[in-house]
Amino acid sequence: MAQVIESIGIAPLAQEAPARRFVIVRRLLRHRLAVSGLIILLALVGICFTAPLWLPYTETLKQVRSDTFASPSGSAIFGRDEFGRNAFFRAVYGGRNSLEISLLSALIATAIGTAVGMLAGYFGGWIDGVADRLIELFLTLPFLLLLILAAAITRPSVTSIILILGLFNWAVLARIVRGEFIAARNRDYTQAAELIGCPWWRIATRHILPNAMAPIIVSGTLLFATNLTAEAAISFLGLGIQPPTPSWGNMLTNAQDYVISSPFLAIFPGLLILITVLCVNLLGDGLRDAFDPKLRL
Amino acid sequence: MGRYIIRRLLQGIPLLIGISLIVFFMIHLAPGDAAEFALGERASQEEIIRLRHYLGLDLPWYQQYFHLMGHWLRGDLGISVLQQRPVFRILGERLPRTAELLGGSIVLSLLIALPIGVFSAIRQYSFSDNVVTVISFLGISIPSFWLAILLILFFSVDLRWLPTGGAQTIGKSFSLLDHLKHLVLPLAVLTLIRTAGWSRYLRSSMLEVLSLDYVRTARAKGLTGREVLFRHALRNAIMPIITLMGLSLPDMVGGAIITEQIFNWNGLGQLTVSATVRRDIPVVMALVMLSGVVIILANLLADLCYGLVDPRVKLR
Repeated sequence: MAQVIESIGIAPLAQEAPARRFVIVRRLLRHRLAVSGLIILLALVGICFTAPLWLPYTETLKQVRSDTFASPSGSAIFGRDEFGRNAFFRAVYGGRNSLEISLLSALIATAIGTAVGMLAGYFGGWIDGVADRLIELFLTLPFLLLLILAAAITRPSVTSIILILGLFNWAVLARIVRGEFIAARNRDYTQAAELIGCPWWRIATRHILPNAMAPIIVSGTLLFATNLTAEAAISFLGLGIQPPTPSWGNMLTNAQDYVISSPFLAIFPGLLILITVLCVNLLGDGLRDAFDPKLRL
Repeated sequence: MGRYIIRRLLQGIPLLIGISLIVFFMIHLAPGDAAEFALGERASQEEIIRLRHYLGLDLPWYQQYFHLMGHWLRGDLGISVLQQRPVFRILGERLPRTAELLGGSIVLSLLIALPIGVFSAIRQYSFSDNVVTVISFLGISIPSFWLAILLILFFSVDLRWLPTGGAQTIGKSFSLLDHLKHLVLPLAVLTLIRTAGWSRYLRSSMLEVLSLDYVRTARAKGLTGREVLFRHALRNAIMPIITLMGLSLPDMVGGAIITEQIFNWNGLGQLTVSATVRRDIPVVMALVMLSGVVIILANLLADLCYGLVDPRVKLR
């Protein structure tokens, strides 16, 4: 009996509860699929982004004319393309571009979406009216058509694709954040902070935002996956990064012309996109579970 | 109810005007115009200028915009710059192609996702549930055009069972069987991807409903498992699917773009790409408006369905 009382009454006083973010990390680590996804992702990012250290960029441009369309082998494990270039080397540098595009554009979209949703949800009134219309506008515009036009206006480069995806893909997240802020607006802790004279930006960023972090992180993660696929889709329509600069999307598109004679050229870049998107989705799912206090893990 | 619908529809009008302005302006920022694309690369500068003048493409953009709006207000969608035919007729030719692809895939996805979602929710964490989970995660993650390439490689190139693209064999007269054969692969791509997402949603909403009090009450009353499942749980679990179905209607115009492109399927998606790339403004604008209208109607429809399925939802 004494033990029971101790465990419910005294223990919390004696030691402080661990910070919430450590709890989340611990809950996430219990999610086996999410952890595997995270490890594979980190490995892919590590391989692609350290590339300049172990593989000079010029290697991806080197053409072995006698070896065009060579099947995968020890020296070129993904085979060689129509110019006899090593498809594995191109996939490494292509991954650098693809991952950079999807990561940075997801960050930009998350930042814009959070800012718009925060201002709309916190202030309400005409600001919310304007922001809500804007969100609705972006949700109603056909996304792919917008991408085609934007890619036609700018000369496709890594930077322009990052900006296009970042600037056009924030509306869903903004709507979610807006909802969170509207809900938090009338909570006691917000009003208490207001009463003691806390400035609005401090209430919004230090008091409400941490409570809205769960959906932001989850949707931001999923945006990374969406943007990776979107990059490939723009490339597929011929409006993505232009060769000889590689990306997984344009390698796949390029391989389409030779898909019957050399299917391996299409299979590997597609497989890399699939693996990355799959891992991101698994991670997103794990994060959602880890953030959900109702779930026991 | 009636007033609610009318108000929602009226709210859509400024939205549509905004969309039309943005897209129109963006087409004008894009380099090249329909006159250049119509005449090709070898045309002389004078020819291009003459055609541009003839088509009215040398007017300021707002004049062109109001000209097009004039057409719309009179109830027609204008004339395609490149095809010199009414846009209305072009859309009419393409719409059935996209409709059979998307309608088919929505119905098939629902028929497959429903039993899968319910089954894996009842047997949560069983072996078969895990298999379904893995497959649906693959389905959600796979890039559609890559899946399409794999299917073409396997079923068209290796096995030679199905054609690689198009809506019918070129040079032959139209036959239903031939057409259906062409339909199989694009339909499969869209269905597989949609089924994966839907079964996942259905599973989680089913799980949520199954843990609720009224399901426990129904069980406690002594109802059989099947009755509880279908009469009590499924009816409420189906809510998110209604929204998802509503939201997949806009795919009518946009979502099938890639699939139609890769299978050379002459529907609205393919038209969207070719018209945008060649700057056929009246066609692009009509497609954008069509998708805008469908999205607004689909959202409204989904909200109305919520009200019908769940009496607690009040529409104001």
